[in-house]
Amino acid sequence: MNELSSLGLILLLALLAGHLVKFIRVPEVTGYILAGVVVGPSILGWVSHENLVALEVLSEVALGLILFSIGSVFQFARFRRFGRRILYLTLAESGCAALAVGFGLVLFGQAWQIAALLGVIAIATAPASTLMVIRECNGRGPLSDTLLAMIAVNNIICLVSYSLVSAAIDVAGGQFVTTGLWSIGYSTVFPIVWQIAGSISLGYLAGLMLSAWASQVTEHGEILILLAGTILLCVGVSRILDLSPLIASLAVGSTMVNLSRRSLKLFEALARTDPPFYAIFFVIAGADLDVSLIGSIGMLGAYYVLARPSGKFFGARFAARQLRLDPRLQKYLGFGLFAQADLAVGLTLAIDRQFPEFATVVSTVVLSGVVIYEIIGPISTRFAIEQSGEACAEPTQTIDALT
Amino acid sequence: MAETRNPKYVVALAGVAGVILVLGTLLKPVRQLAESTVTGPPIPSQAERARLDRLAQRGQLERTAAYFSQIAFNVATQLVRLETGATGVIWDDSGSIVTARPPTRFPPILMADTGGSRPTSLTVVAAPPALPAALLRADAPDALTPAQRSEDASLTEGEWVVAVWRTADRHYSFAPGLHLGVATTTCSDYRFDELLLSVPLTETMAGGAIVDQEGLLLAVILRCDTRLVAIAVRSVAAVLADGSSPEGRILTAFGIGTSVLHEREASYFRTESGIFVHEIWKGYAGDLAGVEPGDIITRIEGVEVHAIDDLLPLVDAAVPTIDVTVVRGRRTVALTLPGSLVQAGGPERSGVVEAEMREAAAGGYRVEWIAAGSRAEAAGIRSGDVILTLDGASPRNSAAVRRALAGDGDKPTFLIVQRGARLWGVVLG
Repeated sequence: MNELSSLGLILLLALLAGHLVKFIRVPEVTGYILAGVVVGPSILGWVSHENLVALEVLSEVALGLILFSIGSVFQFARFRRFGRRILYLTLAESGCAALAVGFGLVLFGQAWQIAALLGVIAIATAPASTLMVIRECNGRGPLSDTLLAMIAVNNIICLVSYSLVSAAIDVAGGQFVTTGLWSIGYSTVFPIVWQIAGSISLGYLAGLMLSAWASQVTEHGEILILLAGTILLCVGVSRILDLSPLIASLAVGSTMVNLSRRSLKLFEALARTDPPFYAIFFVIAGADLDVSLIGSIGMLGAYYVLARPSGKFFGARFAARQLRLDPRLQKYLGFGLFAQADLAVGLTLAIDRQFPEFATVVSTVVLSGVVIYEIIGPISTRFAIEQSGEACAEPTQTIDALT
Repeated sequence: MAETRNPKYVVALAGVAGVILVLGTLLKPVRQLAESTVTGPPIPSQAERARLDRLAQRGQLERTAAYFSQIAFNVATQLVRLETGATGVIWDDSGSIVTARPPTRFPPILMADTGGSRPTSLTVVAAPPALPAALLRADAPDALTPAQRSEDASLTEGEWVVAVWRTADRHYSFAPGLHLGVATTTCSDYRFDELLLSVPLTETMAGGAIVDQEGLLLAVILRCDTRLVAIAVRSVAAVLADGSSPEGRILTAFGIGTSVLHEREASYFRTESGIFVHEIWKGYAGDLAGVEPGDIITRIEGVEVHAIDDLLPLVDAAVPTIDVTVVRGRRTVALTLPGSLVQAGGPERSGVVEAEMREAAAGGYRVEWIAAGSRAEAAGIRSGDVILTLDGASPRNSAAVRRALAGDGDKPTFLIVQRGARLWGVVLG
């Protein structure tokens, strides 16, 4: 099957699966992912690995658009007031997840390096499926807004922690004896500073251009062209410069929302046009999942699969209670944080290159965990939104509700 | 929110962002820069790269050749050149030297060039006619450096080996090649491990050494019937042990193959004591003195013979002649063998043997085909062998020979068989 026919198949199947799963009150995202699993190489093989590679660029664009949407949460005036709470909440859930996974694995008798790497990966929560579920439910309210902001911060924390852990492993492995402490610091600290500062800078510049241009463009179609062009350029340039497309797209969105009066209109235009991209994104993500990995998950993986959500759940609950947030937030916030996808997979690839001696264990555990979290995550997010009473709720003052 | 829209801040932030991007791109670790295609040293042209590759390969070949040359230089000190033109490998520090057995016999003493200032004289210890190797002993072993043998035969296929041999004027030659595996090969009645090499073995290399990349001896180039083969050291050691036994030494000196009487021969010849002569080589002293296969040696110089060791006076006693008494059928025959002081050994030229063989062949029955599982086959008779006698007399007709070979009647029969220059006797039944 060539790329175009597999693309068509993906879209139609996604639609069909999205309809089907509605009957069992499961998010469309899960339907897309399951459709991907079925047509992908692990079951039917209608969409081959080659097709997936060719379609990868569409996934990247979709991910860029998703992160761009999430960036709109960071309205400066509001975030200045609630940023600390978001940071505290995110640090608490990330820290608990990392500690639960890391310490547990050390008790299991794993090397501390493996425990630390898996702990860091446990932090990552998938932005895409979370955002899609919130959208599908028309989730408007404190929980949805808090979730989105937390997920944005969460991914940054995950990247920073990964760099710190990899630096620690390098130093403990005695590499500085041969290469020098300075060069270790340079080669490990620099990329993280670069990834964060550089990506934000790039996103800021792109966002600046976007908002300046957007005020000159009125037509809906032209706005879309402008938006797509900016996001593509931003993702592409960040690939060239070894930056994080995730953070850069996030920065474009937040720059846009802070600088342009027309940003709301622009985000609405996007929301009306982008579903095909997302459908493709999730079906491809599903097709990429290797379901057979679940069989090889083992005790270690089973522990990881259980410990990460528990850590996230109790961490979020504890922090929300400390902050005396709405009781519904205290109760359900943690359920929104289980999804995990591409950042985790990306980090296993990095570990493959950087620490091949630990890569086998880490990637077996993480990749099989991703299969499970990608399917369970959207369902639990939907559960959280529904239970907190935000599903299809009237638009309210968003983050203000956190006060 | 108003202050964030202040153009000053926006522009200032844009400036900071630009600076960060430029600085970051410049400061990126070199490893990452090397991965990009725009930077890095200029890529050499296709032709230039091909030329550099060729130069590098040539340099490698030259280094390889120099390495083999160095090995050969070291190994050559462990080799001698015999006056027959063959090479000999210094086997151990007692002065033993192994060489390929020539088609004709050795003189009992011969000179060898060790690469030192003076030639050394060598004595032939064991060179039985059927053996591919000959064992010589140097009279002055102190000046010799023995070869270092590789006992471990775990050489993998495709490894480099070097053939080294001595040439005239104290020079040496070498030929590197690949080891292609080990095969089991048969020369006369001996089985050997043969090293298969990519180097063709020529007559000038006879007696040369095959060494590995460490210069350890793997094999010796020996003569198996008519061709040259590289025989692994452990097989050579087994051959030498055979050849330097009392039987081997007697076979070397007189061309007489002896063994203790087995049950079958004892019952056929109705005797209990003595040593059985099972083979005779044409042209050797034993043959010339009239010894025949089937003889039973009973006395040497009047002393009764019971065991093989009792035959040692034949090779050890420093006397001109030795009287030997043999029992042949019902007769007792007295023979005189030349002592070890007198020239003993085989014919000077192999041509003599060839001529005699054809003459003898005319008198017997040639075996054209032999039934699998017959008693003759079990006794080692092959097609091409010539049956000379049955029970001490010329066979009356081919039917008698056929009956004897097939074992009709189950009566034990004694045959004398000729194969090339070798006459041997066997009791069938």
